[in-house]
Amino acid sequence: MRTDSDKAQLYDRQLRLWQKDGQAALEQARVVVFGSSTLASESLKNLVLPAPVGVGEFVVVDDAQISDGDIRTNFFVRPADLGLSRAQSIVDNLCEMNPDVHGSAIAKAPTEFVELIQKSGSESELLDSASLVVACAQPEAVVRALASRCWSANIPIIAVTNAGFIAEIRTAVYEHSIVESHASGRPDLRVMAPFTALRDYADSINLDALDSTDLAHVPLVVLLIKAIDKWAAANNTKASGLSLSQTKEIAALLRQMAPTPGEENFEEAASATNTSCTDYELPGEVKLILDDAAAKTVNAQTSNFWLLVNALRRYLESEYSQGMLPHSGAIPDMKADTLSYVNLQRIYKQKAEADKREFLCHLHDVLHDADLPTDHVSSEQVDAFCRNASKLRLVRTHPLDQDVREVPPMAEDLQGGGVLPHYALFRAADMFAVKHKRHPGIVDAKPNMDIDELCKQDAQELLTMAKELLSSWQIEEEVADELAAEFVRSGFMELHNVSAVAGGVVAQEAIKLITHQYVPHNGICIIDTANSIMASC
Amino acid sequence: MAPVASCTTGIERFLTLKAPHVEDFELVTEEGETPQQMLDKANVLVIGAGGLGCEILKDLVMSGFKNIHVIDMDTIDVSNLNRQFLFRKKDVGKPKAEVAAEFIRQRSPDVNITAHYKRIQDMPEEFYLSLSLIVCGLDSIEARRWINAFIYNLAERHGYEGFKPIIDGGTEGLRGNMRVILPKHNACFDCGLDMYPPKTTYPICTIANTPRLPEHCIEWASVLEWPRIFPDKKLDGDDVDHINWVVEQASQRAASFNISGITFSLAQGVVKNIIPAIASTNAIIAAACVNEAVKLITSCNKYLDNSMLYTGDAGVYFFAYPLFQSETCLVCGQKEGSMDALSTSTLEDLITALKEHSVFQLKAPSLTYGETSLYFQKPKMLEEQTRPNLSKSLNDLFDSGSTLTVTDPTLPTSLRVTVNFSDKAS
Amino acid sequence: MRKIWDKKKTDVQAQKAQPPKESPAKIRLQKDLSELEISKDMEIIASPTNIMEFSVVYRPQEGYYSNGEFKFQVSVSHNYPHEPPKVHCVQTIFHPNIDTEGHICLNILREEWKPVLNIQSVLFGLRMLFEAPNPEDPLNKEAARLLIDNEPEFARTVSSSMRGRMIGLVQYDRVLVSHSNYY
Repeated sequence: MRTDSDKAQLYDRQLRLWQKDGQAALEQARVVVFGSSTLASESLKNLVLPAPVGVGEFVVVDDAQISDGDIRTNFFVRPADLGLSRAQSIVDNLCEMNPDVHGSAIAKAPTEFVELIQKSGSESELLDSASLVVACAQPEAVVRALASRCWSANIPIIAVTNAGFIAEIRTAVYEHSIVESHASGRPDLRVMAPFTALRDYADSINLDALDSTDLAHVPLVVLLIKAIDKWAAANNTKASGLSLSQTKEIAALLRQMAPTPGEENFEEAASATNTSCTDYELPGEVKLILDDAAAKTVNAQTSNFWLLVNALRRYLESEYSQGMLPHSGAIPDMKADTLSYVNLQRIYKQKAEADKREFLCHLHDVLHDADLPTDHVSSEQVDAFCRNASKLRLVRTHPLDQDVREVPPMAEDLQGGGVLPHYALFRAADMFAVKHKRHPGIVDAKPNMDIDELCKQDAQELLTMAKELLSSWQIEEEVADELAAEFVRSGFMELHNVSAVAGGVVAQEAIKLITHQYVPHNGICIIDTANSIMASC
Repeated sequence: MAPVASCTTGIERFLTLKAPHVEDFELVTEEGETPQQMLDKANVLVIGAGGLGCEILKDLVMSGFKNIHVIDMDTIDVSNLNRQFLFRKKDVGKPKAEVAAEFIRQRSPDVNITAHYKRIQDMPEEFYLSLSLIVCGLDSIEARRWINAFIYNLAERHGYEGFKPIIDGGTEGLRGNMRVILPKHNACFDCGLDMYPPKTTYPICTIANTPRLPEHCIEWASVLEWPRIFPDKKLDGDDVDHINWVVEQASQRAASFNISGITFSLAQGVVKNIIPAIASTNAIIAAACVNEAVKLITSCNKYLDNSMLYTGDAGVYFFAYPLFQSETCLVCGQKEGSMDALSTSTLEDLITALKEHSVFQLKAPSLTYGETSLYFQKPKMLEEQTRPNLSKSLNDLFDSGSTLTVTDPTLPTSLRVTVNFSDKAS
Repeated sequence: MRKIWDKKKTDVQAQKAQPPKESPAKIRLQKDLSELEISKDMEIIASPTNIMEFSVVYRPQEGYYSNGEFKFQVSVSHNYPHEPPKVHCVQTIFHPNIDTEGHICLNILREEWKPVLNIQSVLFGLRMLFEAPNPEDPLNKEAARLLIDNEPEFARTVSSSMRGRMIGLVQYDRVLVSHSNYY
């Protein structure tokens, strides 16, 4: 066992990114991986290194045996294990890196595994207890079966595959909520409509009575409130819904008020007018979450996130909130003397605490309506939710199990990113493999055929299949001969580096999905390192 | 018929199949060399055996590279183990390059890997000339600038023999970047220096008198107090006792100003300017770098022109773009030239010739030769001290074929001019 | 890679140049120094054998600090101009923006440094500090307080500190210009 301070040191560089909460989530996660090729071991490596993934659990399902090629391209198999189970070998070698981690291998073909689940449900427990499923270089039939099961259980799944220099990463998650998105938002200073304590503080300062030194240390929050008041009085109006030119007038006023031209805090305030002299508006992403159907009803099964969002709705409807989110309590650094800054910090912190108390009342109402105890949501969760109310995010991807002949849900985005042909070719390649029982460009079916000739023929067939798909989607899009040729050229064998890039992305997305921090991508990512085209949508 | 049966790996397949759609790819070159042979004989230097370096080494070996050098002057710290996967707890304190090389040797005994527990500046020129290319996984801007300037000059002096592409990777948290630097062909590292923001610093008067943030208190303890109390001891960010001292001082100061939030982790972060680092970002950038190395060596696909950014904080976002050479670049913005002069002519004659030169047309040139300042137009004291050189004859100052660095108000950076003595054929 | 090298259209041929012993930082410094525009009241003391370390002597002609001779040690790293030069006041002086250890509070030397700035900008910044000491963001709080509260007294204190007097608990360095050096 490692002590807390050991851990703090060992995981220092990542704790700076996702803190203790994120680390705890990683340590409790359970990841199930189908496939044991380089894609699998490279994805897992990045999860095993930073944390004991799961309370002892990451599971690799595959029946492949170690070949000579594996030894030369998959770093996490042992040369001495030639011919043995590849899943077991990568589990052993990954665990050797981090003694905190426990992994296990299931020597079963993913296709067989999926059939068992579909027929008897005998292996479904493994899947249902997973926090994340990863399908590495699996046939589309396996991906779709897994995706369908994961979708109904709201377990995120990542499917990754590659064709030589080209890789594709697809994520499906029914619903993924993020409280700590680490999004950067504009500072929430509320100078246009100061709350009572802030108004009182601003009023307690008389700029005319200050000497030039003290003036140079008045924080921009106070300067902005003073300037807005002055502007409103001069124009005999209320400061709201300001136009750009009116904002500029306030900035000019601030520069006039400066004791010496260019005084830093007045300059700072003048440039802050752009972001601060606007009416309060809920961030677009938060608005969407509040307008979601799930934000409107609750019952005993409602997830904590939606319980909190329900409470937030009621909070925003209350007279207390005046339509503004609970304040986070944080303010940016600004030019000021220590005392003024510390005072301001306290004022905003107290505001945040008052907001939280009010929010809690609404939460208790919500919990009551849902027949849940008042301590159903932990106080840490409430704290984090209020602190991040303006940064909430929700990700709902499209499912991965739809019929390949249906228009891909992200077709427009794929087209815009210049990777629709790639997407079509990946799907066509799977259809080719189903039809011919071999990958395009792989010779074993016709051992006497010249490989270059075979590749040419396969590229032609693959191209036709991809074009047929596009026309069944009723999308006009050219597929370049060269791109089809590049797909076939790969024989759908893995290149270590491309698998490692893709594995890095898989791990990055896995970490985001497991910790519920940062924002995962929204579905499909294609990385074409043969043509330096990379798009994700 | 193509030897497909022997293709047990993806890379072998790519190197042995015809690919008419890939410009410049040949199964056999005019010199009779196959891409596989190019890969086999390529000699790659990995600079840095840290988070990126460990990944780069693994990626090179698993791509089929056979000759690898790794250089790093650092030793292993416990906080490296969360991502530098060639190191184990028992290795803490040992040189990174040596432990990493030994791990690779154990895993792939057929690879020829050499460790250098040294500074890059300490390797001889012949070593650099023996390389095919360099993959850089460094976090120090200064070291990257050094290798960039050095390698640029190697290409300048040796032509193709000195042409050593640098593939440079860098990461910070969930973000990373990669550059393919082809010396004398595209933007060098210094051309893009603006993209790397300088280290965060705080105004010293804020630190001294009006602290607002816990960081201000930590800087007060580490920048102002430490050198005052321990004038002869350097603050070591890796020494727990040192950081604890900083934490204690900073905490007292913070308390007196009603500031909260001083922790050991924050203090160490500020003192060492720690950049968060995780395995997955390093994996992405390192593998993208080695992927470019494979393409450069074998021509099996187009290499990146010439930069790529990756951000993973919100979504997955890759952006490839060409970075252009900068006219004011201190490395590749330098102009080149040569001049003939009599060995007996004076430095003043040379300066006049530089001014009257039809191409250079300089106004007020200042000249140095290596560490020697030959003539400075300004400031006064340097001018006075270097003035006696004006009347000296050139062969008293340097040998024929020497290259001088010339700055002038008309030049965006400088001119490197090689002076040949016309009366003494060199 | 031969093909990559050969692709460059303009003639990339091996120059018979020698390896540069100077870093990009030193080239930039050479350019900065050799193009400096400095007035009579400032002087650079540098050695032709190592320009990366030099001193600046400044003799203000007017203001509180006239008749003084102030010395600064400037040290330029090989990461210049990515990093700012380090500037330190060698003497113990009484100044609102310079503490008795010689630290200087000048924004362009720290948080406001940009690679487009140069030695000229640093000299300009130093001059501004002596022509118009800024009591609003002080490093020496007593000096700043005095300048705000009682300017004539501040002027007297500066002048006595420059004679090498003791003020409070601090022994200041004598920094009066010696007339033999004066030009």
